[in-house]
Amino acid sequence: MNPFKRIWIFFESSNLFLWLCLFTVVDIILGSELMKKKADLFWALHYQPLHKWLLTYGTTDIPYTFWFYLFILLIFLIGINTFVCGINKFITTLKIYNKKRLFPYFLKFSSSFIHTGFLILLIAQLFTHIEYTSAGNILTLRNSISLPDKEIKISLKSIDIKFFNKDTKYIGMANNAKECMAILKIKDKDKIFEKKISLNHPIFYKGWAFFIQDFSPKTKGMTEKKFIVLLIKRNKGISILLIGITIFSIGIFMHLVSILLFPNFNKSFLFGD
Amino acid sequence: MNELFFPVKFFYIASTFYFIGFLFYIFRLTKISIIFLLIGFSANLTSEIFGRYITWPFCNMFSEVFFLPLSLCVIILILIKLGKKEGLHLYFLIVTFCFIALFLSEGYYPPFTLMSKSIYAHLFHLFLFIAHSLLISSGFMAILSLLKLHQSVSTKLMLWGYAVLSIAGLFGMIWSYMGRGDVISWNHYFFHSIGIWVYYTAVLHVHLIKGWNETKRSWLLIGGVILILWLDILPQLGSFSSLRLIRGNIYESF
Repeated sequence: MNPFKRIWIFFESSNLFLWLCLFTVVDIILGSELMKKKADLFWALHYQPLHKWLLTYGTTDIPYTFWFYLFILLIFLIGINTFVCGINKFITTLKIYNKKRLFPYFLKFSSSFIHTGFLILLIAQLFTHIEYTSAGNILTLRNSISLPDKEIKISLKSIDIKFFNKDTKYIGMANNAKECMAILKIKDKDKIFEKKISLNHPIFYKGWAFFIQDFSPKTKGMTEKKFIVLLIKRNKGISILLIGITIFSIGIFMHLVSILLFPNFNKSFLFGD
Repeated sequence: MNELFFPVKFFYIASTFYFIGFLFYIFRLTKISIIFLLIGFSANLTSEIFGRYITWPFCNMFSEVFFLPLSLCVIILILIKLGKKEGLHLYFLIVTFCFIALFLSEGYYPPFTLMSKSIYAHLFHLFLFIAHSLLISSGFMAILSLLKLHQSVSTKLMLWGYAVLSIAGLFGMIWSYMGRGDVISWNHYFFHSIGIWVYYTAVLHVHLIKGWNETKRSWLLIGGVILILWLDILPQLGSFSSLRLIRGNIYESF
């Protein structure tokens, strides 16, 4: 038999999918326990591209990180399995074309949407984690940061940190920071733009994304100089992620409509009931 | 009086009505038990709205055990509306979670994190809590199905739970990206959620495999509940204490 066909048949097994999922769950449970003990090791993944982390941090403490390598392998295999089964399912659905009941027939493609969305999400995860990331960029009112292409310079125009009052009703939050907002100056060649950045509200500009990673002062009355720490990322992968989210959501929506409106037509979903 | 106590007090009222309603349910006085359920639901809903209003724009991320009775109540009412009276068995779960919230939770208000100040944090937690209640309900109905107490509605509940869980995951990704520039939050909480999602993805596909009859699938649904309780609910609880909330201890940190 053709080796390609042999691999295809191997991966179209639902049994294989089931076991891969259950192994992944066991691996994750074990891994999350190990993760609790070495939280910092994994936290570095926020600021390191995945491939660099796998070659540096990941190899420093193999007894605590081996599960993560296994996790990536299992997810990769689940991805191939989903791709193969998704194509088979799509072809099967095409073959049972029902001209009279077009809408419920269309809803049968919900699983194809979900599978496609899932695969795109996996690819997007990979993309977003191998793109350029620069953490710990301290920005005061006096300095500026150049992006790697040297054409874009970032500087801080103003910073506004709001604090909880001393007599706030929230116990334990008195005088703590409750919001950090800054205005960044983005100098792109000869043009200068001003953009507002705050916690949970990053700035997106020409494929770059800027996030407030940290700021100072954190408490009212502290005499420390005001500054923000910027996390700078290439964010091309995020558009792929949004496409994945959209397709996956459409699939879920179709699936729910199918359960609600045509429970008998799409009975294969409602096994057992 | 400190307004922060309002949501907690309303939760006491809700719990009281739930407990009384549960007693009527045990004595098979179905109609009265439903009336008490509705009153309890109203008080619980008021508590939830108050709690969210007071802490807005921060998200009360660890209030799941206070929310579960509310969403379980909605599930029961929908099932009754659909003519599935076996849904009333979920009353047991409502009083169980009320008991857990009153005696085992470490407080109504956890310390707020600045990252929780996002609409996506609210949406993520709302969908996650609803998904958990649907999945826990499906497991509970699976137990009753194994005991041959009624026909199963567990699979439908699981299908809805899985869909809502997936939507929660999508909101979670957006929240994480907007907050720290990464769609993955590299901590054990994130991997617990992924583990539960992967588990239910597997359960969703077992009907494609020969030999997985309803009994085996029911056991898988029960396994899912154990996973949710172990990985997501248990870490939010503390040791047993007699009505620590009544003593006004609403702030203990998690």
